[in-house]
Amino acid sequence: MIDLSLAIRNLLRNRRRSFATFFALALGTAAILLFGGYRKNIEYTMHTAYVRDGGHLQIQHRDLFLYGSGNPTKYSIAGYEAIISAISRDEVLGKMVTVITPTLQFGGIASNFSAGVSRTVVGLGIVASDRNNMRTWNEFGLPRASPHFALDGAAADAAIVGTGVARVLLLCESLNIDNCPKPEEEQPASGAALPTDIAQLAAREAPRAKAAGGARIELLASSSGGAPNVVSLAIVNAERQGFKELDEIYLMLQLPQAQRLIYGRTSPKVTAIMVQIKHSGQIDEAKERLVGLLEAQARGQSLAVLDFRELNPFFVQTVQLFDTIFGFIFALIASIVLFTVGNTMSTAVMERTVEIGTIRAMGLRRRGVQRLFVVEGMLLGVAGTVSGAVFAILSSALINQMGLTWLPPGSGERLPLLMLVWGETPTIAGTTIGLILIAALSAWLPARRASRMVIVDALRHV
Amino acid sequence: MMDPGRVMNIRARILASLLWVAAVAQAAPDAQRILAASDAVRNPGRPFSVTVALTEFQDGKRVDSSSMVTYSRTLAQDAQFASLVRFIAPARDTGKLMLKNGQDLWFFDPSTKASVRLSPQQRLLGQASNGDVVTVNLARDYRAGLAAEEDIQDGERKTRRAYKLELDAATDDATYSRIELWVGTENSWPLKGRFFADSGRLLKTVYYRRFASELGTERPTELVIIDGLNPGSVTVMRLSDYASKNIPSSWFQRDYLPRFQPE
Repeated sequence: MIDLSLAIRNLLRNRRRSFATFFALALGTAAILLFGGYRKNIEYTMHTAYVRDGGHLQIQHRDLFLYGSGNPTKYSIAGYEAIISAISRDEVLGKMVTVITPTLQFGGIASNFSAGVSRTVVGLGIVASDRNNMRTWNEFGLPRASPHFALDGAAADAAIVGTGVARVLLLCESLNIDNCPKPEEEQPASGAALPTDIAQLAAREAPRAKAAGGARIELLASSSGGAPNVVSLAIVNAERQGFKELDEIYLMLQLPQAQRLIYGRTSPKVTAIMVQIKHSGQIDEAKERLVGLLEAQARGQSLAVLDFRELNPFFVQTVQLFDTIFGFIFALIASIVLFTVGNTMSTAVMERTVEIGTIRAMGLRRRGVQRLFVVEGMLLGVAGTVSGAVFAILSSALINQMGLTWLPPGSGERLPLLMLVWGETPTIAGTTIGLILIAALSAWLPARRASRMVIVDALRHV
Repeated sequence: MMDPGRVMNIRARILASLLWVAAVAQAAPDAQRILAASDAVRNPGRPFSVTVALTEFQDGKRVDSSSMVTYSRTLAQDAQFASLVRFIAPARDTGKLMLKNGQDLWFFDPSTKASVRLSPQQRLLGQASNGDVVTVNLARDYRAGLAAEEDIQDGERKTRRAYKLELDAATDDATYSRIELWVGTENSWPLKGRFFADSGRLLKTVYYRRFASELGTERPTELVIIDGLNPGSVTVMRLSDYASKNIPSSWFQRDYLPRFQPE
């Protein structure tokens, strides 16, 4: 106890220096914690976005993920209704699961023939009401729920495209998309004219005028056998996708419509079954149970269960990137703390050489001298880091109140900018205790030097 | 020795029954047989080669043209045609080959010696999609039903009497789920075809016209293909220089593509 009060009194002897060290420590702690809060915000935001979009687990054909991107319908799941009902009947999974929904992914060509443009797209057939339920998943309590899904309750021929698809198909005006200048007019073809008798034949075949209104496109696709098929779709909305590459191929439509397009004459299939569970922590348990269930349910098909981290390497990479940056910042600030505290304590040792000689002459052991300085350093560390943590928590609360928004990597919509400091106990405790230990360590080296002084030399020190 | 009166009687009976069969045939012509006959008009029954000139029009203006020699024959394993297409114009495409064998479509570029399989999706647009209305045995993949006998305007704007056949896909290989085909009543000429997708949308309309004597019978030498989705797009296909040729079936192997030498 006497050590503690002596340490406080010694620290207060040179207030300006102690305060500068304290301030450096507090600032360093706050910086680490605020950045940690930002890192958590990114992780939770992306986690939530991916789970809302694709569920936690997807049942797919074993080869779809690696080989299916060019021809997804080749790797489809037959009898998917039976698998879905088996999952929801299962007593363990039934309690964990929030949504089980089939999807069909396929390649096609979207055309706006009235404007004479077309492009290849990746179509996704989905069950809109299930998707809407998936969008309400919010385990991390993020403030803004995803907007209502435009396909839910829309007509059977409704579809959503990426803004890039809408732009390429010249639908900007009818879908009210900003930042979409008109492309340069193409030179009209200057070739020879169509012979009149053929022109008359073609005119006879001109289809009756379509019911105007809204943005309509034709979607061409082919079955795996090669038979072409086409449906007409009404674009109800254009949603911005995070990546330009995805934004320019994205097309989402109702599952029955997609199945009619791809499987027309044969029985409908899907390419994946998405499973969303209540708590992300149960993901491995659910996966194990699903694999067992599939072995019993779908004997003839080689199906695999993939979790969203395997399906979205970008998520894992982003989290790893931020973990690395966090580690880097921590190491940087820890070394600054090491030198600041070490410097302060070295100066203190130098200044108090005569004092050290005196108390040693009075009979205090080397260990006692060491303890005096280490406790001083630790005290600085505790005061600095704890107030830094308090500052970080208060300022993060203030920032969260300000309602700032930002565009997270790979996201199409602006999301609230949050600093998730409060509640991340492991980060707070780890940072604080780590910096206190580093402060104690950096005090220990000068303290050791102080304790090894020769008493006579120390007493004579000027 | 048979009683001559009885012989006469039998003859009369046979004649009568023959007449009766003919009469029935007249009343309800066999749709499948009409289809097979029109197939025979479009495609010779033996291996042949033909020069195809393609001209593509968009909104009334010519946008592209090319020409190619097609070698076709039916293969032993099924009654369907396999075709090898060699481009002869424009210059940038000269020598390129396209092989259609069953559901597979291969593209070969002699400058890189690479053969690439075109996926069904890659055939949805452009000229690759027009191949499947030309050299194809409709009778094999489709079940025909007689819908009507009516007067239509043919590709030369003449009114002709025609059987309207409704063709429904009979095999999984069939490219179209439904085809309406008008075949002339007097000579089994195919006059007009409308090709539909599964969803019921019209994909293309084809007029067969300019019939001329080629390889022993009157055959269409010009096809006008009107895109059903984009009626501004019209392709005119002129067929000339029909020649009967002894084409070995080895030509229709993918491995043969790099070794192919046109005579």
